[in-house]
Amino acid sequence: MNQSLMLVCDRYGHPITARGAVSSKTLSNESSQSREPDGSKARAYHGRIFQEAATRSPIRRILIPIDAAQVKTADLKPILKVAQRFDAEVTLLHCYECPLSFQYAVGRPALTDVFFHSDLVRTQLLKLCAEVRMFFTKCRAEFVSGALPVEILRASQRLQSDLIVVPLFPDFVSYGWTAKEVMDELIRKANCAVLGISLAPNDHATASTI
Amino acid sequence: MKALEPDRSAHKLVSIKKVLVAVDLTKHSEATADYAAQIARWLNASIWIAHVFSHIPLSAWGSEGVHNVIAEERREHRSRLEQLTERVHQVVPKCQSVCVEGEPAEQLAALARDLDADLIIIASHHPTFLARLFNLDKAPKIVHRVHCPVLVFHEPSPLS
Repeated sequence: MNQSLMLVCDRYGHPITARGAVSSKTLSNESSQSREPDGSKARAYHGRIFQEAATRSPIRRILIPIDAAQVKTADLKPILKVAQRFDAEVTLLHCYECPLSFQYAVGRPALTDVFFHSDLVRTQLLKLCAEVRMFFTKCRAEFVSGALPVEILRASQRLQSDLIVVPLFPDFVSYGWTAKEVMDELIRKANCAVLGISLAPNDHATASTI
Repeated sequence: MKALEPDRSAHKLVSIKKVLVAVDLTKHSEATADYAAQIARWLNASIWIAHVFSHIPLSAWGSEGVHNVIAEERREHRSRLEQLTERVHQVVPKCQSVCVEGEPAEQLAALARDLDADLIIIASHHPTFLARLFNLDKAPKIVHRVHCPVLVFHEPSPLS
């Protein structure tokens, strides 16, 4: 009975079942055949499952919604250090919202400008991701457009994130959303853990010089 | 002075040594405590389990019977907290519990300051529309009041 044990866990690391291993049903049959004390093998098996589950990190996928135009690599360092400790992979998410100033623009050139601006922000996001990858390899970036909390929640479900880390800058204001409102929405509606980290304005401003 | 506090919040996150987990001792508390234990164990941190007795309005004017009922309820909460602490103690040996009384957000903020907690773990249970309308969910309040990183845990639904 030398089968490889593959644990199937839910998104929070709790073991659900094991593939390629003996099921509890066959285990009980075997134990009755081999006339061993009842449940001893099952206990050992479950013990092994929980032991292996304990060695798995409780947080494996972290989603970090950011404003790629404002955030610098140094701002993300505390969060990345935490991700490193959990051996988690990180996804930087930028949710693009068309700036209010573009709403006054009319015609085809305005549309071109919006696309150009969107591409500019996307490039900044990719650049930031590349900078982060220099010291934290398990990092990727996603660029989406839409309402901020909605897109964060959608991305967390799509990526099956275990944690959403929201870097809260006091001066942060998205179009129609304050940092407090975004955080409240995520707390109420997210399907995974949410961690809010306050970053000082000084940190944010001096980040580029670090 | 206030501007310095958020700065510490990010720095606290880098070396988490003390985790404070707040429980309301409802049926969800075990899942919250288990999750906090997993986190603390992974980070090799100590854990404090806190429960805040909320003030019951008008209880000060109640009869002796009302006071007895409240005292009985508190005793029951304490025993449940002890059971929860024993459960967590099996996973994280450095585990202690504390009971305080007052407004949950304020008391937790004070407790986190006194204990110098590096991370607070609380839970939110997807409140109903009415609960949100009457502002019964304490999680957002605590997140905005406390000056250290707050992790809000959502218990996975049985369907997912």
